[in-house]
Amino acid sequence: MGQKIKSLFFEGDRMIATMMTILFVVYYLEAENIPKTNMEDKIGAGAFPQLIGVFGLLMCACFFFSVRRNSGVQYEKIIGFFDEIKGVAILFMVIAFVLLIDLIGYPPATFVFVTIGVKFLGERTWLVAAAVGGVLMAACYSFFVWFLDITFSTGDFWLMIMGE
Amino acid sequence: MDASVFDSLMLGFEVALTPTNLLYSFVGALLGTIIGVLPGVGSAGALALLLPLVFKLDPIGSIIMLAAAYTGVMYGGSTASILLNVPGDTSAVVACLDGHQMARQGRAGPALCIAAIGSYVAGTIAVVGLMLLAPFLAEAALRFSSQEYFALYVFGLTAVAALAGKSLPKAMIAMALGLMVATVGTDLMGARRFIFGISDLQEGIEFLAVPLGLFAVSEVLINARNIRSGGTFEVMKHKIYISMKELKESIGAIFRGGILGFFIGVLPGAGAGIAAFVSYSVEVQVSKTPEKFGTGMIQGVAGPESANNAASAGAMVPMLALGIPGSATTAVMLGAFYIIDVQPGPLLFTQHPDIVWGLIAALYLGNVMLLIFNLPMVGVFVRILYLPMRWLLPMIIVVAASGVLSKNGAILDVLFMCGFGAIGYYFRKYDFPLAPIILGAVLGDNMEIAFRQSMMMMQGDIWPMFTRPIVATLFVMSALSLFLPNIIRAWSKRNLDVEEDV
Repeated sequence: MGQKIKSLFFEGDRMIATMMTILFVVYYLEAENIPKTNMEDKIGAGAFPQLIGVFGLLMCACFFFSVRRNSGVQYEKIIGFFDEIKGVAILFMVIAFVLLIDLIGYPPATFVFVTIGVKFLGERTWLVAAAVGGVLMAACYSFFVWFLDITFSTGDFWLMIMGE
Repeated sequence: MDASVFDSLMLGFEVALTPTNLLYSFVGALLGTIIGVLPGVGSAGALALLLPLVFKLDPIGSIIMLAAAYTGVMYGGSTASILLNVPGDTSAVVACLDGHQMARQGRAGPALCIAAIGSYVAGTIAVVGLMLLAPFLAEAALRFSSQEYFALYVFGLTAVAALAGKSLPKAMIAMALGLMVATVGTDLMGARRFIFGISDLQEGIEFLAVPLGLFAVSEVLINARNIRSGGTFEVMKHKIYISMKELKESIGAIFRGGILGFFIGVLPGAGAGIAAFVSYSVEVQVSKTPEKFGTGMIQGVAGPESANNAASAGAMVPMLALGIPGSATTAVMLGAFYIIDVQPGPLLFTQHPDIVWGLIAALYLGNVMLLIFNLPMVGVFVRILYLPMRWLLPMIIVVAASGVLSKNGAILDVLFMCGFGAIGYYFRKYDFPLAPIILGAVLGDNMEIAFRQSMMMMQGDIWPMFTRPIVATLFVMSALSLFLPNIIRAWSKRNLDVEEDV
């Protein structure tokens, strides 16, 4: 029985559907608590989200009814857990890059991220990685900042050093 | 064609074809393409960037340059989608579906060529529509009340059937997620929803973070995982130009997309993104091999690319004929008209024929310019794909993050992009389609506004809505487009089975 439940709700693509079901339930309950803001507004700010929540739950139910036992399983066998971590690792690097922009500013953060990213993805020497980082930093800076006149963070670190 | 319309168009071409205005058109198309390639700026942003030039250049020249830039941005957005799976704008998202698959098969050149040719042909269709139907269509579009818009958005949502791939429930779940994303933030009555005390969320989740995360970041994650797991990337030899066979296969899609896109573009608020999605849905439905869409079908690029270009010209109709901007981009364009002291509206065609017909001719010339310099440039664009994957992946991230940051400068938006990247990664891994999320996010906001305005008008009773002819027609069309293909497929399968039994 336990194995059946695990297979139906927690394997392969069914895991995503289970998580989406939980999300739709939470979303629906949250939508129920949204107060009406205006007498003219007959249905209130929560009505449309509630409709979406119900629709999402119905679709999840349809999915579980139509689910086939073997979907997603083959893929699981090919890609192991550690390979998974290797792929998602770059996501943490991106988050670090974003936080770095706030800390040291856009151009240095771009340089650091691209250099480390290129090396992480298999470039043999740090020198080539740094060269790619430098070129991309210059290209992005000249286009976004110089040409489009967009203001990015200059970095709290430099402001702190300059005593501002 | 009415002789006076033809004479007016000739006047427009006389204005637009002077050497100076041709130069403005060229510069506009070039700048538009460059800006369009990068995510974040979008067509409204690109035109806003060029707006200060209106003060400096001569009035007609500046309007011509803006019109050419508009067409350039629409084309540029699809280039990044096809080559790198990085959609620069809503309207470019659909190009990721089959365009990027074509690039992965070594057919980036034909995909870019058909985007340019489709844009040109659709631009021509739209210009013809613009000059013949502008006043009539503008009035008809104004008859659309919130009920009709709601029905139109429901019809737009049925495009999910075309984006579903193997499983309709999976696509519907993804679409519901997109609709959820659209409801975050302050609603039209000022109620704050799902913001959990985060003030940056009051304006909602920045839309650009959604497609960039789902497509660009997830693409990077998948490739990074393959590289780190010891996978090798074959450097593929890319075909540069399109074959006659591919061109023939695309002609129908281009014309369908062009006509459909123009009419959707005329409706204020509908926009090029919806036109592209609806066109893709139509292409899947008319195809003899709908199951191949999403695997690199050239019609999946030709139709939506034509539709989004035609929609951008269609959006000019209410602006020129009534002075009502139907989108952010036409609002910027309207600003340019005010700067040069011209009031768009019913009298524009008689009071300033040189400007209005010059603009119409410029839209056409912009498309010609795009064709002239983009077809030879296809080979150059395709060379991007020869860069080593280990260089390309961090570049995609930096360009995507810069694009999102350039919108509001909010770090939270980039973190959302990362979050959607993770969602995209796992959705792709387990075969949940990504495009329905975008469809829901694009339509959700406007759909809710139309729904609630309708409910207010009808005192909370939904049934009177169905007595309106346009609404009823759109709902019937929605039901047909969602269920008819499945019914026909089931019926033909049953017939085949019966024949086999016999």
